[in-house]
Amino acid sequence: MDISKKIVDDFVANDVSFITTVPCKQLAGVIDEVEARPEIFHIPSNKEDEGMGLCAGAFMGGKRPAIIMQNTAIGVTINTLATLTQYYRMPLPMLISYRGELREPVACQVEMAVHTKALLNQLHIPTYHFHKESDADEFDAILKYTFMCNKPVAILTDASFWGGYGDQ
Amino acid sequence: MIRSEILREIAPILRDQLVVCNIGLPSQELHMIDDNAKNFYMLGTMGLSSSIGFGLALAQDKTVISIDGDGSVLTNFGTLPTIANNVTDNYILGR
Repeated sequence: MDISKKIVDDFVANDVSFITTVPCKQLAGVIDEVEARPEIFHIPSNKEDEGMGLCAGAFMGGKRPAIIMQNTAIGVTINTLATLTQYYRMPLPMLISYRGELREPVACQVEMAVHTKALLNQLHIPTYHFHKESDADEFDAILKYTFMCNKPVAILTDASFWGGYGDQ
Repeated sequence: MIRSEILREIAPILRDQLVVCNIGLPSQELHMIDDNAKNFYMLGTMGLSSSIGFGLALAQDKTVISIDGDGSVLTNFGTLPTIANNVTDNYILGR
């Protein structure tokens, strides 16, 4: 089964109907799938903190939101995660491409990869790491968990999970 | 006219709408002038009042008014094209 389709099927099955995205090469397939689904309102963001603001508003308006972004964005969204998403007790699944892991061709990405889990841990954000395709079997349960506990939850998806960068 | 006077002036109009208010003094002043359950006081994310209000407007049909600041908007300028690209008639952004 196409992994992007499976992930978006899980979003739809969990009534996630408002998704904001910031582009990433690894996430292109899943973003295309989000765009194609009539059940989901897809709104691209210019920056991830903007996207978290949109998601906060959508949640207050009765929708279940999600954000799709790169791990580098953890560095620029810490204040938003703490003072908006966490302070107001809002659920937010964050499907994150974990750049800078094995098979990464761009050295600079590694510099943020080495801080990603430490920052998420420091923020007390439940974090899951998808490395093999079968790891996505838990995605449905992760979404249910997120909307049960009203917290931001990180799902890190590395290059091995996505099958490399298409040039390896 | 200073901001608190404007807020006092428009409070009767704001009262029946969903309001997302900017960080700092605007939220303190709105709370003092006319606190009610339709107001959301954004307390920590400078620049995101416009984005939060817009997400709220997209998610339901009631009119949403975001009160933002000139300096705050400068920190999140990219949200203006996002708003322009997804026009919804129930959203009003005031600065």
